[in-house]
Amino acid sequence: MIDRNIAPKIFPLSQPVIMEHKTEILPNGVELVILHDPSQEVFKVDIMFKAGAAYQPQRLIATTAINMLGEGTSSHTSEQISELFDYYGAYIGEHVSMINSELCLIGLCKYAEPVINLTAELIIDSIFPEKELGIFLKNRKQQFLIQCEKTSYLARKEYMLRMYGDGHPYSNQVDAEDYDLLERELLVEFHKERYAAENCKVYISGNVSDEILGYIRKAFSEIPNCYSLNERYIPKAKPSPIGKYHVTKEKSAQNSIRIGKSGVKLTDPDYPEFMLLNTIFGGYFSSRLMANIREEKGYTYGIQSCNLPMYNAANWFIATDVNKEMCQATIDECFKEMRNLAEKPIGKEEFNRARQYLHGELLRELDGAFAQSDMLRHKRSFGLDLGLYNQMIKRISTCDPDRIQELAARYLRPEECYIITAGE
Amino acid sequence: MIQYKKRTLSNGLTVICNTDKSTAFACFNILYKVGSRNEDSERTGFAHLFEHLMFSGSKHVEDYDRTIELSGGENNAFTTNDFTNYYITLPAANIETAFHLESDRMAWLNINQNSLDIQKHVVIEEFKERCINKPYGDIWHKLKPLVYKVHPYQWPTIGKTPDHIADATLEDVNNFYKQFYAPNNAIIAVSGAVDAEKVFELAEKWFGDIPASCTEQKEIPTEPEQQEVQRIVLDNNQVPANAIYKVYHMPARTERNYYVSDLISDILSEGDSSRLITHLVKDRNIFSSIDAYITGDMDAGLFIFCGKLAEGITFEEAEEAINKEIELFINTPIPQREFEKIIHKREAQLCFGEINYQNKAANLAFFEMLGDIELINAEKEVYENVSVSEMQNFAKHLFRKENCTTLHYKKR
Repeated sequence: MIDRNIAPKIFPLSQPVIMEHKTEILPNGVELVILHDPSQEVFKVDIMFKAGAAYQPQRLIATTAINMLGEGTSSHTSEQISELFDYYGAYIGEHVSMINSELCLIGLCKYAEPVINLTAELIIDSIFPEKELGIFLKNRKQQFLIQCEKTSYLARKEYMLRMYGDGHPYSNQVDAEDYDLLERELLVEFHKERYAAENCKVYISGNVSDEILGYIRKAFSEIPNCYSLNERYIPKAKPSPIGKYHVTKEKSAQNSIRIGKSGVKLTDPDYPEFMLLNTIFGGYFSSRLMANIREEKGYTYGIQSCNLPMYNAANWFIATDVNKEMCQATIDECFKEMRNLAEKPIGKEEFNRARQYLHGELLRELDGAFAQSDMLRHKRSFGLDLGLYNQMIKRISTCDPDRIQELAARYLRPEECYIITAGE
Repeated sequence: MIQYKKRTLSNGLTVICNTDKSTAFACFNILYKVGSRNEDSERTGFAHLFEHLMFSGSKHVEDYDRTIELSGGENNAFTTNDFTNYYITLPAANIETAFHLESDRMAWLNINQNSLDIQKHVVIEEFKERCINKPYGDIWHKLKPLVYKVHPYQWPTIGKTPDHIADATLEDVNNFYKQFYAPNNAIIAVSGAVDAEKVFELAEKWFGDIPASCTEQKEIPTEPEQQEVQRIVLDNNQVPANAIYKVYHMPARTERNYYVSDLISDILSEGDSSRLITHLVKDRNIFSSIDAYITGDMDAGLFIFCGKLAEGITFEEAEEAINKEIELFINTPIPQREFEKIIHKREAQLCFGEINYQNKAANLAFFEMLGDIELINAEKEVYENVSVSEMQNFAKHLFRKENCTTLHYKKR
């Protein structure tokens, strides 16, 4: 019989194994970043343009532009394009952030050539047909109106508005009328200017054979240059006064809460240890927020805190949907937990657990070629590389409870927080 | 192709291992063959509530989550109509911790009034978040009881109402635990950087002495064939767009026509080039979005059409458009290339799915539960061998008017 009181030994966690990547610049200036893993049967291409929401001359242009790429080129209709991707078992997706617009292609190696060529064609030769654009905007408007029925969406929108001010790209405000105001010409112009070779980086991962690399070099060398590329600087934020803001949504069954303030930038020397602090506070299942507000009081199904790094900025917030009778009580408890961490040193057991969890999480973020490619893309866009992971693990391993308390006193300040509630 | 080894312990516990050294992690997945289909109709939502209670700690483990976090891992769980699935991913060197924790809560769970009271609140908030405070969130609560007359699929996994959750007693919890949480009602699947022999050895070490349960399982009633057209109209909903659901009864997960139905749904709505998207969203803009999918339940399940109507379109126009697509499917030959397309897409899905060790562990346990683990690799061929005429013939049977329930979900 085993003695169940003796738990298995927990082994120390390893250092991340960072894969070598290669880079090369095509004649037109497109940068390729390659992470080759020959054990895969699939490949992934992420094509990134500095064409995010911060660069759009009018609301919705960045996201509409990238979504419309597949709606027609001078040689293929919308239906033909989607048929070809589907026929070759490939997936194409898109993602827009403040700074970047990204297309992601995942395909089977044996059908690489046609889908790589088609992807390049979408980038180079999209025609933004009027009929497809009209239908796209009409459908999107309806989806937007559905979003507006969710208290969690309303709270998020209000928070970004208060934090950065209307008109600021980071607040990225959208209203229903914006869908009616978008003209095709603006899209065409935006596409011509921003989807240019010198503005483009291509991350290739999975099984990137010489053959596949050859298709990519050939297809992406065709992306044209643009001689009027404007660098846009992010304007200064126009935040509202710190305070409590409420968005009324009749007949809601819960209230959504956002509590937030400026966060810690990815390039800030405090970032690694702040991430440990955030883990302890609201970044994992046994965090202070979850332990108190879910597991002890049962006010919510989930509550977390996140740090969202942006260029030259960051914001840190708590998000939850709660029992509406317990809305104020939840807000009070959040602030109590912030003050607790600043006033009392954290116990050794809890400190060690959070540190181990975060270490494991960092290793998970780098597990496999696709994950490493994603993280490399993200960190490089901030001028960093995957060496950040080694630094983070080193910094959290030398961190101690006193340091956590010091950071909590500096960053978790209730008096600097916006409080947003959405609900009845 | 997923390689695996399987062993059954003397207490009836099945253990499966897929060794994958492309990751430094491992996933420990344990599936219990109990879901909302095993619930009493007056105590619904119980299997899911119980899933929450499984995190209350056990006799030799003070705190389940905290131990996993300390080992650098993370964990989660979900409940379906048919089963409850728990999984832990952690650095492979710490895999034994998973065996320790899971064996302890299989046999020595800490059941107490306080955690029951708290988790009732948590689950009621989850109910609100998913089904009440969310546009269209209550549709299945309205549709399921109409579609299923006798089968327990007539209530959603979260339960019929928050009241059922609020009414659960400690005695219910104890009985449920005794009946369903036992080695002979569970399947373990491990995938990742671990060797099979090690996994079997750890399974024997930690689970070997847990006795099998001999409680008899209640027979689950078979849903009789639907005989007549059913319709339901829900007025005055706080949503910006009208929605329509058309729901048809279809075969159980292990029957051949399950696969045929799955391919029918692929032709209709898998990918942007599928028929419903190109014809009804992009060409004619009858719908702003539309989907055709199957539930994949173990017992006879559902084939579902659901769409949001584009602004200005009537329910009659929307319904007629779906009916036309069904007719077209049945009566017009399916081009070879269109069939090849959906087969390629399935191949790609399988291929992408095999990259992820967590996915593999969950699927190995799932197929073992279905009764034939080899299906995890053999299904590909089953799909490839379906013919287009078989699809058309079965569609004719599947989409009979009297097999259909239609729901109109009207905005204010």
